Amino acid sequence: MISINDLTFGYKKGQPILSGINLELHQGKIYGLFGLNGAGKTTLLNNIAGMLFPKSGSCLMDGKKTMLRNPVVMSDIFIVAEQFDLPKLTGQKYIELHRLFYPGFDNQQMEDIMLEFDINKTKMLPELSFGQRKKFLVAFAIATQARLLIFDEPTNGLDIPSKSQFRRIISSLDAESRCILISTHQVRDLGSMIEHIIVLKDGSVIFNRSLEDIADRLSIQKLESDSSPDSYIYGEETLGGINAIVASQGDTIGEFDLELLFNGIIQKTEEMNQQFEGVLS
Amino acid sequence: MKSTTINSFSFQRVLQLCKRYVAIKRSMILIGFAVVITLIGAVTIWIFNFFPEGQRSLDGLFTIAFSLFHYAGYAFSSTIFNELNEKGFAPQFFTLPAKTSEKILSACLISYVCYTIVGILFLYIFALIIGMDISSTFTMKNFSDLMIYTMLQSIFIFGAVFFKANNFLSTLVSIFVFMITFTLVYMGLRFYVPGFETWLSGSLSVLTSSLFANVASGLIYTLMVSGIFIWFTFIRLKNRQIA
Repeated sequence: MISINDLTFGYKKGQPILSGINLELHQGKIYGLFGLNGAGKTTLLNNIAGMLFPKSGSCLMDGKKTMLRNPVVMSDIFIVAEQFDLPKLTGQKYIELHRLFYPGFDNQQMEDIMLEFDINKTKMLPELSFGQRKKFLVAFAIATQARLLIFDEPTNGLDIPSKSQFRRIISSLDAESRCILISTHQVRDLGSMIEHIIVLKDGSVIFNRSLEDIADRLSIQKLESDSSPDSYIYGEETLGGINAIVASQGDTIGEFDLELLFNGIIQKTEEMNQQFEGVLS
Repeated sequence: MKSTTINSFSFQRVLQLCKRYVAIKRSMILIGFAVVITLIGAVTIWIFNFFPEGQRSLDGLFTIAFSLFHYAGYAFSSTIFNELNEKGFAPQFFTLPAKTSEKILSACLISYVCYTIVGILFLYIFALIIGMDISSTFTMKNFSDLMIYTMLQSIFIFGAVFFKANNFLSTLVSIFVFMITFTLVYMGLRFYVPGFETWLSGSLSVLTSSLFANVASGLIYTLMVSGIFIWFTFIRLKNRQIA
């Protein structure tokens, strides 16, 4: 669906923000895009959405360059940016004015999600709180039936019930027809729904694996405080021991601690990737 | 089942974009209109109160209203793409599934065509109210003014996409700089190229030899200049990226 080939991007010559990015995003999957501040996550999302143009390489959706911003391609991509404003219109008017651009727009789904999020569509959008506005835009994004939904920090500004509503709504989507790309620092909020992890560091993809592969090759164990560092790939001291990522020995694990995994990837990139030798990403 | 978006030019999308521009800019349009009406009203009241009937220049008053109509139009055109320059709005505008040509055509329809029709209608009513002779209101001079106005509008629409801040002032300054440069080049040619002035006046006399030639050359020149700037606008918008 999305094919990124050797993409390089920078605002200034000789100072690339993204370099040599190669990625394939497929329908029916929820991708988590992680990285430290300044790693280039938002820049990558903007390249995918056709708002920034690669300096070299390409970003294709179904074989068409997103930077050309063709209506057919753009009606299949919706990005909910981290910071955004909405015009001085009621929610109802906003829907009326924009739904025509998305031929598959589902009014009933919009109504259902607004009901779940408890959004009053008769109110002027700028009068809503930031969280309410974000929920409105998320609802609109989903109702467009765009096949690629991009969320940049979707849970920032949402209260606790709204975060679980967001998870519930995303999980209830027709997963087979859509690809969802979520960039977030809030791994605890969204970890449970992510199926594939992409980690960016200094403008390059340093890790790109499905959780299925990760669960096959790695596991998380609680080790004794005096365990030798050689017995695990990465560990963090916690009360009563070390929370550690170890090479999987067929042992079953519970839910993956994505925060620990992310820290492990950032700190021990090479060792983590070595565990997947011979496995296609 | 999901219906499909078409990649070819769509008048339905142009119409929807026009509705969107009007809805999003409604407050600005209303405020702008109120300011122009207030200014014209204030000047009219002042002239009618302080000048006796014989000394009033209704033509002068109309010229003031006409100038205000011009400048308000340029200011409006300068802001037609201001979503591009606002970080919070830009993603929605960039990713809106419409062709660049549709976005530009709808912007021109609102900021030039609709605005001009409403403006001329307003000026016509204004001329009636102040008791001007309507037959002398819309003359050849006004036609020439309209041509200049059309060319300048296309330049201000280009400025709306080209500059990333203070679009109106930036475009105004650019036009001013261009005019000075043009004048200097003209003066240089006049003084240093023998026969230039004779050639120029000969060429101009052909263009203004008859009313038809005058109108036709004016129209061709206007369409050419406006077309070039609208093309520049298209190229710039197509290549514009988020800040």
